[in-house]
Amino acid sequence: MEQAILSRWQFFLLTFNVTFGTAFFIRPGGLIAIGKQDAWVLPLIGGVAGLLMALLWLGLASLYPQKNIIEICRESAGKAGIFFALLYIWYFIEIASWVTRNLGDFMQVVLMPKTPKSVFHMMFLLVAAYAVIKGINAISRLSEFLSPIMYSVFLFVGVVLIRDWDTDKVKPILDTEIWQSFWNSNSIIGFPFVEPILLLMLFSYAPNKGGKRIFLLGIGLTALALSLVVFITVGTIGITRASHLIYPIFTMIQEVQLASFIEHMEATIIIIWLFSIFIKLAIALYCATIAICHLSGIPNRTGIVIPLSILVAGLALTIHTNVIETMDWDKNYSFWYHIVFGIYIPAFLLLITFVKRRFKKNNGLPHGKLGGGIRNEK
Amino acid sequence: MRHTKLLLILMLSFSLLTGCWDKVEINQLAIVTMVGMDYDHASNRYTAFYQVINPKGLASNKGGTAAPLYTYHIKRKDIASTHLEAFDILPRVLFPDHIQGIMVSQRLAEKGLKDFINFIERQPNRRSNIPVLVTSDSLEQAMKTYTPLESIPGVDLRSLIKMQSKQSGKVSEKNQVLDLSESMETGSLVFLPMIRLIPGGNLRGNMEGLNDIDANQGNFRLDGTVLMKYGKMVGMLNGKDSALLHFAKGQSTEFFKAVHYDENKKVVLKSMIKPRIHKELVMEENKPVMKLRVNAALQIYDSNANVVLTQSTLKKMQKAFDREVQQNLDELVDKSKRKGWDLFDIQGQLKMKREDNWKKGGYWRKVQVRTEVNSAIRNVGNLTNPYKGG
Amino acid sequence: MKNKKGTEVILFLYALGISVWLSIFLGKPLNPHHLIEWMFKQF
Repeated sequence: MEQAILSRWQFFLLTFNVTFGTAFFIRPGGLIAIGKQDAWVLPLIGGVAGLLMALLWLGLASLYPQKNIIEICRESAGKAGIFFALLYIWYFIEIASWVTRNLGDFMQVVLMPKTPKSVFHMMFLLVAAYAVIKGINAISRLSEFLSPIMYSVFLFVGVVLIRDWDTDKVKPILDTEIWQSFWNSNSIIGFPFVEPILLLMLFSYAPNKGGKRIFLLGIGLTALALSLVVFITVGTIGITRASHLIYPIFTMIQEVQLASFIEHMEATIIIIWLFSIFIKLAIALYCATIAICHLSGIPNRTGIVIPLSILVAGLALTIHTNVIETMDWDKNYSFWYHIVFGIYIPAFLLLITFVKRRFKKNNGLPHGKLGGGIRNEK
Repeated sequence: MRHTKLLLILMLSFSLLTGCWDKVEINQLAIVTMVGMDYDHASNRYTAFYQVINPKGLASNKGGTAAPLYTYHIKRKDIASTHLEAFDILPRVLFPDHIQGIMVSQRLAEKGLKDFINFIERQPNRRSNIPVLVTSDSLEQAMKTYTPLESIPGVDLRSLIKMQSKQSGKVSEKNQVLDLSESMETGSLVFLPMIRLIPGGNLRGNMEGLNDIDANQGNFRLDGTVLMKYGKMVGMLNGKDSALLHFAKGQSTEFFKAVHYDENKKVVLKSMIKPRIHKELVMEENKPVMKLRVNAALQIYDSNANVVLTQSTLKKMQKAFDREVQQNLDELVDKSKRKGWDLFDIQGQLKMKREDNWKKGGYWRKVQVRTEVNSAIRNVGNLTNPYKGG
Repeated sequence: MKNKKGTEVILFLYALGISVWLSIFLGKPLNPHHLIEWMFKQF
């Protein structure tokens, strides 16, 4: 496996891009439809849940320093661990397919209706596969280079939107049944807050100091940023339209008019969206690739990533037939499906590890009651 | 090895050609500047009008031989096919990305614009921040009128509306498709500008009419606003009422009012900036009341009386302005109550109340509106005292 | 020994990818979510 140490900034950007990257575009419409003017609270609650999950993962990871999730699975559960490892590999492949499909859907709905989706998919996967071959350093430098551009454009657009802001649209604040709407939109816990589990593949590259804090910071900031995006969306285009449109953010920016001659600003947001999709795709593909590498013991990423890209390109087409199907899936199954990977499996592995270590400890003690001495040795 | 690499790069660069699926040739586009939509109850059919730019006509404006645009119309049973079957007569691809305005006939507005709005909002290439106009005259005639000064009617109407909404408030600034769709579920009123054709004179169906210096003849005129609720026309306001209404809502910068402050003494006052509006919902003696306070800064625009301006005359003028505007507002409140229009957006205010008893459907009808106008003359114009003359 | 296992894995991945694409071309796309939905419905 490759040797690399990411800087703290790079690691933060990877976390943030994985979590915030595609969610800011896809999530707001559905959240607003459910949460009305208080929809901005939902990402915050989701973020708290996400942080709790992240603590669980970090707890697991700290028991196996310098190991990634695949190795953790194998070491903790032995033969059965291979099954969990396969599940995670599947999950990573699925994230990659989802991200790819998001790209295709968006491009086809708003930009190029006549071009087949798979063309976008394949072209992105081609470059992403190249990035994966080049390694985690290349990917993190790319995200280090693109992120400032992305987020400064984002800020600029946000400033421009102030013109259309209407405070009345977000009033009355905190007047809806928030817990009820949170339960109805529980899929936000799955996407985006389970997806940073991808980063558990990269912990061995994390900066030596403060890697965990940065990981938590990335997730926490995502919650804040997502909440801000939702808040702005409600305040500018209003609840009614935001909850009916598929990509309210796109529409919002499409309709910006600056001094009657700067129109059609959507090009800027499309670029942001493409950048963020690309970074997330590259990370997901990379994680899936090295997960397979670890499991099968193949040191060479190139051999894996090419068939993997073919698979992802195929899955991206079959994973659902249209946007409505995604929404249905999201509403009914997404939460339960994601927490399998986010909570159940990690918690199970943690439990096994505890039991095993306790068991080992007891086994290692000839007289049973001298635990302190052993602990000191460790 | 090197050859393989080269070949690979060449093959990869072919993938860039995939952009060709969605390429558009600018010469093959029919750039639509204005869309008209009409509905005929008798035949149960929609008629769509498309005003398409003629690039040659725009370029050779000096010669003035070619028309700057042409109007196509298609009559079909549903809205989608009026678009689809435009290709039967259009030699180019319909390109609606740059529509400047949408004009609908009054009978369609009365029937309801819901389907039309849904159609527009569903199309990703049709923006929703374009004004919607209603005409009570023949839509066909309106769509076949050339405008002087601005050669493209869509641009002409759009800037007319924009100026009027900013300045006189005779039309609301919230007159776009997106405002209509926003109101589809809140039930608040949307004010669309009403366009009429100036009668008399020949309407400019062909370019020759444009050589006439009298720009009044056969031109468009803004004439009040149309009230839309849930995408359906529920009534009309004349220009005066809607100017007053939008002034009282704090949307217009210029509001003119002639008031009598003494016997035979008349002054025309003008508000200088957007007035400050204060709305408040309260319970008074178990009755819901919406207090509407308008604070305006005024300027003397014209005065017929031969008097020296003093502090006390100014006071009188302000008082007269307050009184008369308030009186007019009260009349408007009465009218809105009588007709069941929520002109002052009481529903929007009720929505912001936390207590549930405010939120019952139709509760806004019980709310009384109490108006109050406070003005101050801040500017007297360039004259302190008028010239006396003989 | 290790090398052989590696080839097997790669071949398996190719087979998976190609079978997904074949399912698309044959008009019966393999949707993994349908399987997952079915599994959820069993509970």
